[in-house]
Amino acid sequence: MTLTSFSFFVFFASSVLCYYLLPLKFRWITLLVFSAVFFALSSSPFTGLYPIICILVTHFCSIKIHQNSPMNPGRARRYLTCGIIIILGMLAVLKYNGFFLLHWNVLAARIGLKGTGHELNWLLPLGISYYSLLAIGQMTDVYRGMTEPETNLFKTALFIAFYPQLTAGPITRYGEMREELFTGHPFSWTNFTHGLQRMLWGLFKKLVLSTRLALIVDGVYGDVEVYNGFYIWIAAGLFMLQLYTDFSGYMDIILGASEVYGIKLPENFRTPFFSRSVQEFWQRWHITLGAFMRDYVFYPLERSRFMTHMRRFFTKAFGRKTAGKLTTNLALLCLWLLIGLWHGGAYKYIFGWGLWFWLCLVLGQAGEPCWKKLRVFFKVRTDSFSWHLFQSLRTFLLVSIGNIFFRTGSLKAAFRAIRLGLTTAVNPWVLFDGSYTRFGLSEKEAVLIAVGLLVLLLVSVLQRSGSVREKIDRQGIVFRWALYFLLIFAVIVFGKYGPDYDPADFIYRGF
Amino acid sequence: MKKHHFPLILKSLAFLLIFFGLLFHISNVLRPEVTIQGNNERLGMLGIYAEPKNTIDVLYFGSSDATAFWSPFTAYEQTGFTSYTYGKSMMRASMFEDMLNEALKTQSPSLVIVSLRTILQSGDTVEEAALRSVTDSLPYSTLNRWKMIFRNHGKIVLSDNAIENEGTGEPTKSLFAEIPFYFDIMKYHDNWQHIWEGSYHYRGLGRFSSSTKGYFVGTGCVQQKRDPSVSQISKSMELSESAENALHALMQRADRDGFSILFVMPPYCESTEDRMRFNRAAELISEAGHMAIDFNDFWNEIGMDAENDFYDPGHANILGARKFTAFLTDYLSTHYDLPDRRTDPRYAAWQEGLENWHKTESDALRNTISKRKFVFEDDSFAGKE
Repeated sequence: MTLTSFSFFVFFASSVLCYYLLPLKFRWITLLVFSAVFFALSSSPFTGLYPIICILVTHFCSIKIHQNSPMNPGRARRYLTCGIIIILGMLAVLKYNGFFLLHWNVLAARIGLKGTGHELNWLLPLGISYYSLLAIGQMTDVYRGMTEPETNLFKTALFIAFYPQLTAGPITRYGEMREELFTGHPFSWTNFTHGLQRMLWGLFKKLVLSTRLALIVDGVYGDVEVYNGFYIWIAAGLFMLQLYTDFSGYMDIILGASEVYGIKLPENFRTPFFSRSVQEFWQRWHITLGAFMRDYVFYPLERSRFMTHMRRFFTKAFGRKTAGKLTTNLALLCLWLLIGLWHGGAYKYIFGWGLWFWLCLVLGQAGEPCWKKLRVFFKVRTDSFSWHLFQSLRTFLLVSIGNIFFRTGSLKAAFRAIRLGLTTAVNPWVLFDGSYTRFGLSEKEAVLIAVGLLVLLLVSVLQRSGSVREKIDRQGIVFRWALYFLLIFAVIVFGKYGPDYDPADFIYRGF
Repeated sequence: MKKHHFPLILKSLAFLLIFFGLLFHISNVLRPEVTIQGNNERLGMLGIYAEPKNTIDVLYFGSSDATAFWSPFTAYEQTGFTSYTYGKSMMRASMFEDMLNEALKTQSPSLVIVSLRTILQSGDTVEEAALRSVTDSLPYSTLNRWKMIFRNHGKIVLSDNAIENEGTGEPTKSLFAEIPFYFDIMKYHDNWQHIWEGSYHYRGLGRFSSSTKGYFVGTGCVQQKRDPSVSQISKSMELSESAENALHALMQRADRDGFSILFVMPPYCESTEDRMRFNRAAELISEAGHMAIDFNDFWNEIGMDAENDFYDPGHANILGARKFTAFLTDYLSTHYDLPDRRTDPRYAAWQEGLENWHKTESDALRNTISKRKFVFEDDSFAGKE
């Protein structure tokens, strides 16, 4: 059941009705039941085993960690390690077995053994990459004493499997979600209407913009030998926009649906295209993943015994300041490689969404004195709009290059696409000569995309100075309703859905 | 419910009202029958709402075998009774009852003539294209449209399935797959790229009067081969459940409302199976005290000419329709008590319409005669039965 299907809206409406019909203290049970139904309807029955194991492990380990942590921290640590190994083991076997087996077979061949590994073509359970992180987060927070463990198994189950966030996040923390999920929320007209408005905005991004942008992107990356030169760079930029409209659209639907129940989930995007550096971009893009990796990977790693040894070693060799930078960058490298790996067991993710961004950050920092001299030399006014615009465009370009790796089939294909983009014909006129029609996009649809992206830009600008929905709320009823109907019918008429379409699923749903 | 809830409820109701109003309007604009320029079959169907209430004496009703054979102005000119050809191509047996109910909402004819051919050929499943052909031509607001879709629940063979299985696909069991029939905007929303000026005047209820009173003017000419011995067949063949149900429902409605009902098979190159089905239908109809006539038995009396009077195998062109209408009109005037409206001032609009009709008819005749004796394939009729 995809979040843009008619069946989902029937499901959602039924769940909202049940939720508000039950007394406050039982409302979380409605969410649990509907989450179970959602999982059952969205995946094969066999895959239901994994979230159940995940819930049981999280629940049991959290309680044991809590029981042991004051008196026997070593034992608590062992429970935490054990819990994390089970969760990550499950993830590794299901999601990364192909990746690991590939290397094992290569290694086996090198040392003269017969490559015996066969990829396990088991079905990947829905949202495993997300709920695995939730589970690890919950156990770690209990271990750190940041939160109490949940004593009710069914409440743990709801935290792990809350259906709006099950498939694509956001990656929440148990301590933050406890009140939100388990305390029944009374019906609020504002929450209800704001939630629906947000869902509508998400549908607009996904059905009107993302699916159309995908036509060009798929067309170009489907045959880079033919669509080379400027096509590659246009497609890279458009894929960035496609990914944003797709993923943030998905988030809007998820956060909007939760808001209808009165549940506030953390934001995952904050106008990322206004970022003036790659570092800032990652503070605005997939925020909850970045925050999770920072809190549960980067900080523990940086403070680990290994890093302390490394710091000592580097201090002896290069001095204290450089040693600090080196160890931080080493920890960052691990962080980015893990972020890349989280996206998928393939080198294209590890390089494109890991190593590439690490390189951008490290080179950006290392080159800062040089950039500073250049700015002074060219008398750049760093507080001017044009400089900010340049920085944002530069960031967009760097992230788009990383996205070429994300979009293409393999690391090799990505490098080939970049090579073709740099070495073949200079053909910027493809932007103006109607070449987009080659990808099944009509002239009217191209205009629609342009208008849609302008609307997106306008909304992003408005978002910088506060909630757009609250701004709309302050307007008169005629204006508000006109706006709502405009958006509703823009989705109904211009959206790509219905019996004649086989809509591509949300990109981030696959992780 | 508390007092402060009322404004919210009122606002919500107003919002929903505007939403559905806009939805129905935009859906009508986006329907393919409107967006394809020059198509007048749907407009002929909607034209019945523009007729003054209870002014039609005879309703000629059926699928494309009705709309291609009965020319109301020819009958009016001949004997003075008013009639309307109401139907839509691909209308299957399970749609007849609701379609008749729809026509009788604004008219109370003393005689309803039902063209039998498509009813008898109908099976117990309905192709997506057939259901859409009819429901997409009915106004959104009419309950009969919704009832018709509901009546066909579990019988609809979706187009993809039908194509994959060469027309013999299984009907869909998914309720969600049927939702786009109720809200056809889900299917046609992408037509926004093809809308034109005429799409906005989508001929809503009562806004358009059909200049041919529902008759579809066929102007092609394709030679046919007829086997006269088919008329001699006396064997009969079982009808589908849908066909039998439709016949019973139509006759029950006639008995209940007190109008006469006549079942006819138009003259065409009838197949053996069609004749055998007709024989069975005639038995059922006769048992219920009504009448069925196969006009293939009167081929020579009508003066039908297989070489010149058809624009495709099952449909008469203007030449064939004129002959058949004239013959049936004679029959009706002798067997039914139908009024002559030609001098009635309340029917002055018919007189004006007749003058326009003469022009349309002469253009169509010229067009058809120029194509006589030539075998050709006319793409514009490719979608018709």
